Amino acid sequence: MEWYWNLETPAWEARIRRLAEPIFAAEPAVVELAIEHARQRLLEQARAGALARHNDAYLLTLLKHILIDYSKARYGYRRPPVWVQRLGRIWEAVYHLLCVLKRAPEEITVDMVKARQQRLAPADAETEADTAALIQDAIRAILRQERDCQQPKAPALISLETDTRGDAATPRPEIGQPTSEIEQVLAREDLDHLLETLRLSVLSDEEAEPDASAPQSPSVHMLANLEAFATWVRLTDQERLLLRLIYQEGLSTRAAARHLGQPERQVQRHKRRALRKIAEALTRAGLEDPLTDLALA
Amino acid sequence: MIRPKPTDPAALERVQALLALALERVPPPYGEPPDLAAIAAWVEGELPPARAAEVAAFVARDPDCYRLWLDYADARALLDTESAGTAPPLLRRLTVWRGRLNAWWQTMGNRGSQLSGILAATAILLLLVSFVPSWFQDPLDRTLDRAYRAWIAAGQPPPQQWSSRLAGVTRGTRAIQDPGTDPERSAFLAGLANRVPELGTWPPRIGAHLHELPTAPLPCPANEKDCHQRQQRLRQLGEWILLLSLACADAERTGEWRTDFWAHQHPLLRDLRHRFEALACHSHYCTAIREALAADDLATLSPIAYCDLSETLLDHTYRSDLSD
Repeated sequence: MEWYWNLETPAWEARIRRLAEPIFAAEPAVVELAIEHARQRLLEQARAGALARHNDAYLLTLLKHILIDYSKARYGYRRPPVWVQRLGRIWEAVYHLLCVLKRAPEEITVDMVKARQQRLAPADAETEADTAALIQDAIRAILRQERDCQQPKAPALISLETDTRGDAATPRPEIGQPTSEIEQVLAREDLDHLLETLRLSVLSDEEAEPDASAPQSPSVHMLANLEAFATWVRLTDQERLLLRLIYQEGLSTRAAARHLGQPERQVQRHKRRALRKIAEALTRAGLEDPLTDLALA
Repeated sequence: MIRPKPTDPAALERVQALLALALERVPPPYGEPPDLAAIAAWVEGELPPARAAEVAAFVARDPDCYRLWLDYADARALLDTESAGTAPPLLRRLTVWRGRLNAWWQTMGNRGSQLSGILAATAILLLLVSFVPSWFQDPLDRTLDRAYRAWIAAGQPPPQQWSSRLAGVTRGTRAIQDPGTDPERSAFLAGLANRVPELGTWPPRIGAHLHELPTAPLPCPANEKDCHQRQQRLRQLGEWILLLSLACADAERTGEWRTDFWAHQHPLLRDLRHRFEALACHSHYCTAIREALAADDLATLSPIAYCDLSETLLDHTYRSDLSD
């Protein structure tokens, strides 16, 4: 018997369901359709001999991608702005739920917290309150900076065909181009949105009220310092991955260590070293206290 | 909702990290972009070291590859939580131990015929080495010999049990920019390789990488003054760093810092530091190594500082931006 008949078993059905439910939370009736679609697509690929591997994690990843494609085909897709992409996958997911699926912010928080708790072992994610705070930060910042986000007529969705490795409307900056111009790393508008987002994340709701006297472009006062910081900060590949897992994905050090296949203690040391490096680069660039600088920007 | 105050260190760290991730200038990855299958093979440790390094660079530097890796890692985590949730604790433990035992048995089985040969060769080599008059040796080499002998005599666990420490080098996330083509960096790597056979049988994944290390430094260019001296120092440093890595991994595994071992490391550091201070360094690599050895925090004699040093020196050796 071919290995892929396993996909018909209840165990695999349960796995696919765990992937599908958070993706189609807005329309639970679609979950069954999506599961069947994903299974059939994968079986087609398997029978055609188009699968490179047969281990469970690989198949599960492919199934997830099929489900996401199905969701995009059904609801449309809009690549998040670059500043949202730079903040990580949670932010992108919030953007999609808010601005494409037009879901209510309260529902998004509840569903995403639930999905994360299911997906990760209890000790792996931040606490429920931290996760909720992270998602609420994202909702608040996106709603504030993408004002048409929940309007019925949002900017045109792009089709699956154009959703490849980039978006013509918001070209991804080229990586690895050494330049003194920070705009080539991040467009000025994206930089402003990013700074505003970080500012919001350290201020209370009252403090974060829009200030008419505040400059339109928060980066104006800090551009030279940010340029210097971008020049001085140099993370190793390992440090970059680790910081992404902890600060963008909201994983605990233990979960990050498991993702990287390294002992937790070693990962903690790398984290300390990376943060020390960043702090040194900030000092060198004259941004010793970015929280204060951002709050005043 | 409770908002972080601007003085909250966790909030400060988060903002600093996000700012750095958003603004840093990431060097371009090299080699052929990996697909999901290649990333999965990398995670499972099935790729040859050169390709593994390429995939590691793509995962760390290319956003699309990073997402593929994250999806795959999530799927693995989900499967882990699934098995952790269904099996009773004793059965789970037994399954883990059975897996370890199988892996060990397989390793021994595959290498059974070679193992006795390797052990015999190592024993003969050790005997010969012990009979070679040691007065021709550099005093630092003699100190290193003693340190390795003490490590082995203390009955430290075999490499299988602390392989995770070197996993970052084999599987991992360092950008290996072919350090084997640089006479100085190849000397450091040869130092690492020098001591590998003394330490017993390595797990296949780690062994595969270690056996690719150059066994001798590349020849110095004709016009390079003092190159041989620098190579000798870097070779000695490599030998010491391997020992430090083993000790750090042992501490990570057991949670204990063996004071008798660490007490003997400071004289070695002092000696190496003096020798590097006296060295004429012309390359970025050599200078970076000298600066790392001179770091103030090593004066604390904390084992953690030594472990950080070993990581830093390995990083320097594989970092492309220190190439001249």
